[in-house]
Amino acid sequence: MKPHLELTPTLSMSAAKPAILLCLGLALSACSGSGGGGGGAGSGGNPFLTDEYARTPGLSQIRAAETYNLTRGGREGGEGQSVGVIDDGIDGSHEDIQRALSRGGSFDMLPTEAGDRSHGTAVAGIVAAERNDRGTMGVAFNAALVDYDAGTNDGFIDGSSARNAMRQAADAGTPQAGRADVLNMSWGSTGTTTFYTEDMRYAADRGVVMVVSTGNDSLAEPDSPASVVTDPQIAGMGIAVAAGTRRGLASYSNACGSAAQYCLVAPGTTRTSAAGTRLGIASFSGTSAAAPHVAGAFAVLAAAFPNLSERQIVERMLSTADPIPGCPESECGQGFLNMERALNALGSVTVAGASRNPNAAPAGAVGRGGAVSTQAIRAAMQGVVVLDEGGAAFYGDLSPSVSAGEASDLGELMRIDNSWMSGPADWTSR
Amino acid sequence: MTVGRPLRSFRTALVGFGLIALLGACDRADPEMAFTASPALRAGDPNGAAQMVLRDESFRARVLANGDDTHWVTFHPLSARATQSLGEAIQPMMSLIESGTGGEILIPFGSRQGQRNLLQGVLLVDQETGQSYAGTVGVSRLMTPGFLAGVEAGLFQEDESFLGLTGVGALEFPDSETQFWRAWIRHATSERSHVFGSFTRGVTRPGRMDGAIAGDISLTESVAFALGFQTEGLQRIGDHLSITLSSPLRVEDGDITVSAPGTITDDGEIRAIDTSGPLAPDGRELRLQVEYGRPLSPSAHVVWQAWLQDDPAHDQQASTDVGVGLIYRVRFNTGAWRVAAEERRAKAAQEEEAS
Repeated sequence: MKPHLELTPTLSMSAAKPAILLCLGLALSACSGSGGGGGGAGSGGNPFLTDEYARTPGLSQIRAAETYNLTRGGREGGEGQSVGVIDDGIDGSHEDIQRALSRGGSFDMLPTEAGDRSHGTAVAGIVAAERNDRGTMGVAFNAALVDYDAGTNDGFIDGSSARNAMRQAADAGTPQAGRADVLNMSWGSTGTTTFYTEDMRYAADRGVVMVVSTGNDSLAEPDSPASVVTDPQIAGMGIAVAAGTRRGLASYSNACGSAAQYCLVAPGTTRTSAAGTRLGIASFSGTSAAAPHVAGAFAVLAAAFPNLSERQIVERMLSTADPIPGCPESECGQGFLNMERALNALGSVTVAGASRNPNAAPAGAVGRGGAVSTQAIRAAMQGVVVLDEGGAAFYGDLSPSVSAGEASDLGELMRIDNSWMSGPADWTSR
Repeated sequence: MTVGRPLRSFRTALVGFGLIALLGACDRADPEMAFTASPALRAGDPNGAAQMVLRDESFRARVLANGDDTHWVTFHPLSARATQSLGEAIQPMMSLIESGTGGEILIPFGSRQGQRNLLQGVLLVDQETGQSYAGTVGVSRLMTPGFLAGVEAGLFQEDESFLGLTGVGALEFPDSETQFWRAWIRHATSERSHVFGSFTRGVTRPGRMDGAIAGDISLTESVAFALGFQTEGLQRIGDHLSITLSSPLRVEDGDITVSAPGTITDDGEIRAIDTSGPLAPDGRELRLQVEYGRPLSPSAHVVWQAWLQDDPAHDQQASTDVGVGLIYRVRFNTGAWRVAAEERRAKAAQEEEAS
């Protein structure tokens, strides 16, 4: 039994580093067992309900397996997306991390100092731990990780280095060069500051979404830079993340406060195999753990819906969150992250690009007496890209609505519950 | 018997009664109304039609309203009783108008022997949209005392439909125009028997519909035909027995390219995938039908049918359809209107004479 490792949040400032930030409420506890074993979740027809999935409780809380299963062969698990982690460094040699990190890159933003890497590695594990039936798995298990090591010798995050990381994430061309589609920032400092505003605006302008934890001080307002997500130039490109469950905020979590419009609640307690114990599984608590759930979810959604802009995806995540009963918006923001809802079609759907009458449900054709063969039409309608009200693309099989027989009521041919859709459209050419 | 959607049939009947009321006061007319049920007797088809017939020495005409899926047969000389259930094969374009209102007129010409030559005009308008219609102009000639032949040319204008193929939502179809011609013959094999045949060929030209998924359709050819033998007066005056072989309208040549959004690129651009294919069905429906009909009263007529249908709806995969059916036709008030008109004329003549 390994001893609990607990890092107490502290804030230190120095003249050279105007805002050196802390690891927020990291509590690592080594748990028994290695990578194998576990209770087993039972597949239930969903191939993602594995033992590894069961060992990662945060995933089931955000209904991740249902999401993975929806993609059905499309780009799943955040494939093609890069998630940047601005933290105290990521252990690139970790078995569950190294593959994701090899798809991206590691950048030492503060060469003169060395971060501890335990916090950053744990965060990275929640984002993108490998799906390999060992240890735990990340939300975006196919995403690339980009490590921006801004850790200091004394366990803090260097603010200037973090700002440089934001700009590198925005400017670089590839994940290997430091490009990130979404940045996870599981740190902050109490109070408001404009220290990061310009850099966050810079990144937002260049398509980088920023996910920031609210802090672990039980305050009514989020720390900075989580509070900056409401900046008019950033709005919609940043998400503040508080920790909690579907029943409410964790007692330690800072509330969404003034950032409520762009704030989600995500699991504040989960387990990860990337906690510095190799494949030993450790629990990980705090808003530091909540934020990477959201960052990973963004990567999964961005991979599934390549036609959506970053702002559309953020809006989708916010609008599909589950309301938390009894928890006002000022505390829980838009609610608890629900990946399954975000991956499902919203509202009515239309056939993409149909400029005349795009209604897809019902959309169909019938012939009288069979004078005309509808085979070609039926074949063409088997895999049609349809758009939901949020603009997300799905494949729909509209072929059942094409009939060569006697005239029928098309409304009866096509159910309108969207069950005829096969999931988000694959963005590879068929 | 009437099957199917009663509300539509009821509406159709109301139209018919309206026509009767409108034209019933016309002394020179010979109004009659028929509510005809299931002339094609396809399983599940609701049918119904009301018509108003006007007769005169110099012409014969009718206005009528069809119910859903009624297959309309004009009453030109080919219109033996057997053909009343062959509307899809004999009047294929008219049959594609789901609910129609229209009229027909026959005018003898160029002959002192009554109806040796006939000019015929037909117009049927879709009463649902008012946009689709079919019209024909034809001539027929009694070539010899037992041999009748005729030709007609027609235009079938469809509103967002293609030979009866209609769509909703994103699967809209462009307007289309079909020019068609038909040739038909009837040859008497005895005093009470004859053989007949009808062949229709159409060329459909689809319009353009920018932005439509199914907007690219080529010039399309289609045909329909019917052959038959009929004998009458077997057991009583007015009965008939017929054997027919028919094929409803079928596309013979033509292609469609469906341009449906089928893929999405890495940068999120949605691209259409073109899928082309023939519009000709893989099968050909052939319907062999035996029919016996007899009058039950001056206003009622009953017909028994049995048929074998190979490749129903031109679907090669469909199993052969075998069926039997009963058709019961009723006419309303045909005599009463005429008697009333004659009584009015007689009374007027008496009053004139008396004065």
